[in-house]
Amino acid sequence: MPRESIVITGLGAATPLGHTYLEFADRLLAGKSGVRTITEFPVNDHPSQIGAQVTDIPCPEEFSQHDFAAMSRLDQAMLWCCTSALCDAKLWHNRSNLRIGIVLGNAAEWLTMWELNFRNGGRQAFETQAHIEPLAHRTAHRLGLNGPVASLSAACASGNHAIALARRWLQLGWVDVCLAGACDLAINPLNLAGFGNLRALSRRNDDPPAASRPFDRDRDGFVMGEGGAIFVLERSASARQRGVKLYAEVAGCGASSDAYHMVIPSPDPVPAIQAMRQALIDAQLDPADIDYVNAHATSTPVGDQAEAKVLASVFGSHIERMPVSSTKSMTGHLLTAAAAVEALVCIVAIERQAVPPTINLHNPDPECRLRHVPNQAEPCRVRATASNSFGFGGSNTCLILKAA
Amino acid sequence: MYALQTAERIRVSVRCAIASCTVTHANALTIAALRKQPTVIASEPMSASFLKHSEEQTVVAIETVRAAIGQFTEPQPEFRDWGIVAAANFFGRIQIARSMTAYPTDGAWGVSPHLIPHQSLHAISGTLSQSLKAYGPNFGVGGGPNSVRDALLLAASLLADSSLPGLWLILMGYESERIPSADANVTPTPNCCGIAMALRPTIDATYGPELRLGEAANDDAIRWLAEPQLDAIAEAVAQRQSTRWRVGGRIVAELDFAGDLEAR
Repeated sequence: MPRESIVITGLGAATPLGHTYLEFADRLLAGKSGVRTITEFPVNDHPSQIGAQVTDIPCPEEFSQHDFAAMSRLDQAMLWCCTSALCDAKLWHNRSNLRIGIVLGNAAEWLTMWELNFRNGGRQAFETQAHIEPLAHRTAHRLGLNGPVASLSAACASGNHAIALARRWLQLGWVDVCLAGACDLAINPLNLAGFGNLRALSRRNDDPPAASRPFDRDRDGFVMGEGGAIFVLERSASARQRGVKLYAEVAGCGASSDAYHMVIPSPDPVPAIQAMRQALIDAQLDPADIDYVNAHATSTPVGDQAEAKVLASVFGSHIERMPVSSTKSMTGHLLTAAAAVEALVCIVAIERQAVPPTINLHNPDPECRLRHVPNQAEPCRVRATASNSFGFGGSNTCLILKAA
Repeated sequence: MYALQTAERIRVSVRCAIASCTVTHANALTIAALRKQPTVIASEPMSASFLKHSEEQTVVAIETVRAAIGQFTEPQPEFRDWGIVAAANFFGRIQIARSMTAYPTDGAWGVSPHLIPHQSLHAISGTLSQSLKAYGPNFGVGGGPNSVRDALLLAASLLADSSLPGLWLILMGYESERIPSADANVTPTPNCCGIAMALRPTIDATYGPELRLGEAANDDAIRWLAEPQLDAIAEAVAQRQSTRWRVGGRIVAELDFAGDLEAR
């Protein structure tokens, strides 16, 4: 398989911090929180009553407002992200002449659809569903794309897998361009209750913006988020020929499994270390070449400490100088969509030459000895970034992006 | 790139040796028995409650992998670094329907904490990685009505650069759509069907069974091909019948059990 350089040339996002790259980047670097009290459904009996929700997803100019309004929020978010990304890459008008594929990270598509329908008095879950096309496939049809399409879930690690596999499809020559990323709007009563009853969520209901506090001593669980980010990936040679903006090169990917527990991270850091080392080898970089790590750190007591150990082991003494932050402090934990949105964070860091903060970090946990970026963004030379995403089912992934 | 399919104008870009493959069908009684006594497929036995909260397709997937391991024609490899790709059919639907139905009366505290870990798309591959002690990547695929085309694409592309020593491709579903009954409690269970394929990267020409993926030169070359369905793949695997499907764009997947597709 030829090892061609694959670059990102288009972005689309629907996030709690905004629905355009500029809006997202500005709010991220300003340390704004997207977390608030959930008002879309009653939450009085939920242990956690807060979330980072996506509101008012814009209709792409290329579609009718009427049709868009009739779609589910998940379909709207996906269509907005994909259309924005294709337009950003200046491929919208040429899309039917190219082999454009989609690799999507998504887990809650069916649950979200059935539950919303049931809350509105429908019985969709109890009726045949075999005729319904999955989200990734129907988005491809709506956009008039003719390449291969697939969706996957490794829980919170899904987006990194999707980007890695899209890169591979390009290297195999299966597509000219591939849309890759993740999108999930999973803040609904069953998920909020399920995660709440797992005791995974923050109960700081009286102060939503302060609830997500990765690496802080007073953290008490994660805050659910929702949204998505989709990227246009293409071969570097064709992108350069087209003269479009190159946001970043997808330089390396690594993945492993804990093979330990469906929920609890393995006490053995080796599998996660392995995923990061694989990504570095794939990117042909040394640990000291990484300028910023976007940590998975969800704000749970166990997970943040486990990741800090992994980072210390992979980076050695470089860990004392290299900035590490968790932007889940602002976006909440977007679950299946987390890795994709955090890849977007890394692009912001490369493009703006600044590392985003971990907000609400006032008392760093002594077990998480890292070069934190507390509460305020820092200007910084950023050429290469690493983004960790670990998921239920024991999935560990690391994605390395570098300036193109 | 290989030029094995010149007659069909298909340029094969990924070849995977099928080290073992099998099909399992399980009815409700069998699934209940398997859940109570989890199959041992790794050196360490799993606890008796290991599958207590698992979705039925997870339970059958583990049994299918056990059966496939028993059919290895070559010495059984070490699965430590293998990956796992598992496609499911409307995964978690029954438990989701039960939880939805109970929620208006039981409220938030009535939702099981096991719902997300065990009834979400990552659960088959995650549970298998634990059972096999497999530390390679694992993920679920699709989760809707027909996930097998997505799974064939993703499994083959994971093996394309030979960085993994092997990969379990698991395809799960039911013989007919499993629809929750109106009260979401008593649910007639159609037979669950599982396919497990142990795939290894193939660099040089081999003479054994293979899964190959490649691209057709144009739309005409694949116009007559169907999209893969679980039952068609199950029949092909059970009968060791070589066949091909279109899996998206111009990509074609071929199951070749005796090199006979090459000979056509």
